[in-house]
Amino acid sequence: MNSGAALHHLSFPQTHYLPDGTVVAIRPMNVADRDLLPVFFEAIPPQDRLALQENVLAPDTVDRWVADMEAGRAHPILAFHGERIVGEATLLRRLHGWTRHVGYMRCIVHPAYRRRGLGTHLIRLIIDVAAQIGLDKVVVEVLVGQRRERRMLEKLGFRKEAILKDHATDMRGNKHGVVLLSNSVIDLWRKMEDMILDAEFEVIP
Amino acid sequence: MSTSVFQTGATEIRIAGFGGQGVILAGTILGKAATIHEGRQATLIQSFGPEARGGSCSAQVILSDRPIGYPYVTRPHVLVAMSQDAFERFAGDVREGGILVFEEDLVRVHDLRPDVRPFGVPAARFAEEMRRRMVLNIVMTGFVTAVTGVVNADAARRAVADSVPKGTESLNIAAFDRGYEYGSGSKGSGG
Repeated sequence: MNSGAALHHLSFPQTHYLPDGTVVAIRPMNVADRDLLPVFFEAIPPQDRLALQENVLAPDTVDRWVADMEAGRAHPILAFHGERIVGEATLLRRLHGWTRHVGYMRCIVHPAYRRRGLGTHLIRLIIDVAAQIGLDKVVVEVLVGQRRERRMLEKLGFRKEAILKDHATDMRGNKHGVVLLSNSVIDLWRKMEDMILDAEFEVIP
Repeated sequence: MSTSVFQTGATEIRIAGFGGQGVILAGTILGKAATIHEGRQATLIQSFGPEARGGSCSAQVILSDRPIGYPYVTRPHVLVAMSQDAFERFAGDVREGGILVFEEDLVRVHDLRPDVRPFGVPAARFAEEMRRRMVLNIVMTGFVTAVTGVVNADAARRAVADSVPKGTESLNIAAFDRGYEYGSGSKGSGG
């Protein structure tokens, strides 16, 4: 199973316009993109990289992402400006076990392309992907200090589920609290089911 | 503008099935596509069987370029049968030269008048493949749009997006397209 097959209900590539007219092409990642990712990650400021869960500059990190993608455990979407990657969002899932209905999201945007709605757009796409592959819930973890990111996620329907104290150790060895937020995709579909049932089971006096 | 297969001022459509299949929403979408997105006229009458899950349910839709004086469907140009009961009850009412659209895993067509053209679609199976069974009606709406042309496909897509809960638009539009593409392949083959 590869991510391309799993995403077949969404049409790609998509053209997305940033507010200043910059045209960004968005599509699922493929194996050939592997060598473009390190260039993208090198552009992320060191301070921002501290907030990422993994050391994205380590070659085996990207190799693992590719392996996850090929195994159907990861559904990465990339945003390109020309030939350059300017954003990455991935839905990770466990194919078996208790949490097989849950997706885990990460999203990284190139600093020069932030505050222009690209991250919001990528996260919306990830929620669409989650709905389309049958997941019920999308979870994301942010550091307690990432207030702006948390506000953006809350605007997109994510709600705080827990705060885990000293749950993250950054690349410098500092401990941070982690806020666990979730977006209940299944609730959207419950709304649709309710809408159908309300229309069709109206009580006739 | 739509390219309906019917050369008529008003097109009568009956959509019928079980309650909970999204029959009324399908009718609403066709009506919105015609009125809001094509500037035409439409009426929708809904009727219910027993008010419980699984009871029968039907939507009567009329689409027209002119004001509609009588909103009830008597001789539908199009019958959309999403259950066996719907087929048994309403197939005999289809107008001469009309179209029967049916859910092919739920309806066994028999004794159909030869002038009625049948088009079947495995909409429930497609919806299951998309992991959301409640998009069955949207797949069906896409298929109906393709085989009958009673509304324009883009107008119908916009009506789908307007009518479903926020956040579910893209999968619903994908469901519409699944039905529409299948219907585009069926067109002229008689199902």
